Amino acid sequence: MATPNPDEIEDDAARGAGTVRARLVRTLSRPRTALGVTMGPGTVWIAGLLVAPLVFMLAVSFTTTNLTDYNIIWEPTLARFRELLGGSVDAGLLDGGSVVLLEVGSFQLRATAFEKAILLSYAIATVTTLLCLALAFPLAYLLARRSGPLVKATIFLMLLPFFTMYLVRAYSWVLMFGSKGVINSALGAVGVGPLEVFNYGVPATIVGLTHAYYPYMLLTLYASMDGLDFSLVEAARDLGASRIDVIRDQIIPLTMPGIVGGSLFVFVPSVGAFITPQILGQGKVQMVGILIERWVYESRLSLASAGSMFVVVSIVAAMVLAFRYVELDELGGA
Amino acid sequence: MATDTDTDTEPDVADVAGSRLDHRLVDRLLRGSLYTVAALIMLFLWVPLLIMIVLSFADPATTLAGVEELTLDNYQLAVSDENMWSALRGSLAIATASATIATVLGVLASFALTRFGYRFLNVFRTFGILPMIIPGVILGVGLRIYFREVFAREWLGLVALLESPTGFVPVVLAHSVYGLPFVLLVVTARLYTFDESLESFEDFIRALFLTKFSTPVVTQWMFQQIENLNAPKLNPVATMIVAIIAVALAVAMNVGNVTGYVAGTVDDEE
Repeated sequence: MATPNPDEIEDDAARGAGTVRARLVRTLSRPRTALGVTMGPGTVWIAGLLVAPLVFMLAVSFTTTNLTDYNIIWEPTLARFRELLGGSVDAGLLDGGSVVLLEVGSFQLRATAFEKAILLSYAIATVTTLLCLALAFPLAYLLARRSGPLVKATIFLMLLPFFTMYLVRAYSWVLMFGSKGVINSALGAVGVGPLEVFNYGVPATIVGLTHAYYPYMLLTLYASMDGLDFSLVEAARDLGASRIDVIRDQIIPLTMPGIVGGSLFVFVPSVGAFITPQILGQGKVQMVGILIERWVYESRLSLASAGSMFVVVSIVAAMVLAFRYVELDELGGA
Repeated sequence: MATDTDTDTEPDVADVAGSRLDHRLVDRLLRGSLYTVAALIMLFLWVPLLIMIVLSFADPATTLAGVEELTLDNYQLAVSDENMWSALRGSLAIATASATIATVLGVLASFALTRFGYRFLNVFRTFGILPMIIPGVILGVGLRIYFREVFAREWLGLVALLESPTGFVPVVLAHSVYGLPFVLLVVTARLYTFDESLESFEDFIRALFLTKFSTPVVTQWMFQQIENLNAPKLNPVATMIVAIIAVALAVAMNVGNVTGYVAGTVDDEE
């Protein structure tokens, strides 16, 4: 690859070689040119393929899509958001109208299908995040404190499943769950009978998401604990702090960047999850990603954009939180 | 030494001595439960994959309980599916192209990120890592609408390249954006620090990077099969993917100093 390497640049410039390469190297050594060459392409890419589409989607969410020729009518309107939150105003929502969300006695809390999907998505993402945190914390602690070949082997075995394709892992849970799945047929053989919990649905989706995003949590927690000075913990213990004190006053504050970072990396993708609820919910788990995908499929672009904004909100919140507690680049331990 | 005598005299108080015995027991119990939790997590991670692998050799291919015989028939069925092969070819092309783009962009940007201190670079870093958490549906939908509305207009002359929102070029572009965070993380980690203790962390990222680009491979074909719950065909294909990734991961973790070479931190030492 012809990518000039700054290390070599400096070396060669010092040697003063007079080749074409050296001249190229000298040009590239000027900070301004170097900055342009190194950052330019990436900046164009991020601006054009990440920021622009999201801004564009924000704009489209305030428009109307003509449902006969699928063109976007560029007149600002709040109608899509009203449709999403108030039920189907002009038959925009397939599952329009409201459904009963909660019924206590004669009290009924009603919500539109979309509101229900949003609540469900955020609830599932919250549970998934907490599960990942609870499962990753002890392991990250163990990995950070111990070393040796056994730990190396453990890390390898822990990591291997994560590198398998997302879809393959989700599919392996398709086999496990279901009324005739591995779990339920095993239970049936023992005589416990098929249990509804192990059918496709919300529990299966949560398990699938936890399995899918666990590595992000483990990675960020491990990265923040790896740099932790455990002699502090021992000192606190020697000075009479209880285990709970140490965890609350030392370990948790010191690993806060990892906790916040890991939670973001699990929560945000879970809110907008599509594949997992689709194949592990088998139509029973209407998360927001599924609705959005369906609207795009039906070319309801404005509605899909407006719906997406409810997930983008979580991304923005995540970024604010990240800046508040931790530099985002610290999250990866870089 | 003084502290030693200090701690030695403490157990004189019967109360403390009692709690110290407890302490050791609790310690052992805690360590034991920590290892138990780790083992349980390992089971959670592996059991579904292992069952899938076993089922790939089984007939019928859906539940362990009813397995009548072990056979290679499922593999025969899977490899004779022409659609699977064409999906694989298309996906490999997409993965190669998008990984190349992301690697070039990411390595270039990493130099500046580690060498200069401009404020703008922090913004870049944040946005560069952002694709790691943006749900696929959201950016996918955004890009699809964006390509259709912005580039499908004649003014950029890109109609031919971008006319189909699910065509080769748009998909490669989308995947290159998704790969960028992983390149940035690996290469900046390499350039920032020579700390060897970070090695396993880097292995992790490197391998994650590898997976990220293997993701488009046969995704669409698989998704279709899953929707139809076509276990006999899916189990062998999924098993082969696990096997390929295991080999690739082992190579990446042991031989794979690729990023080191590209980043120029390895040839200095060798």
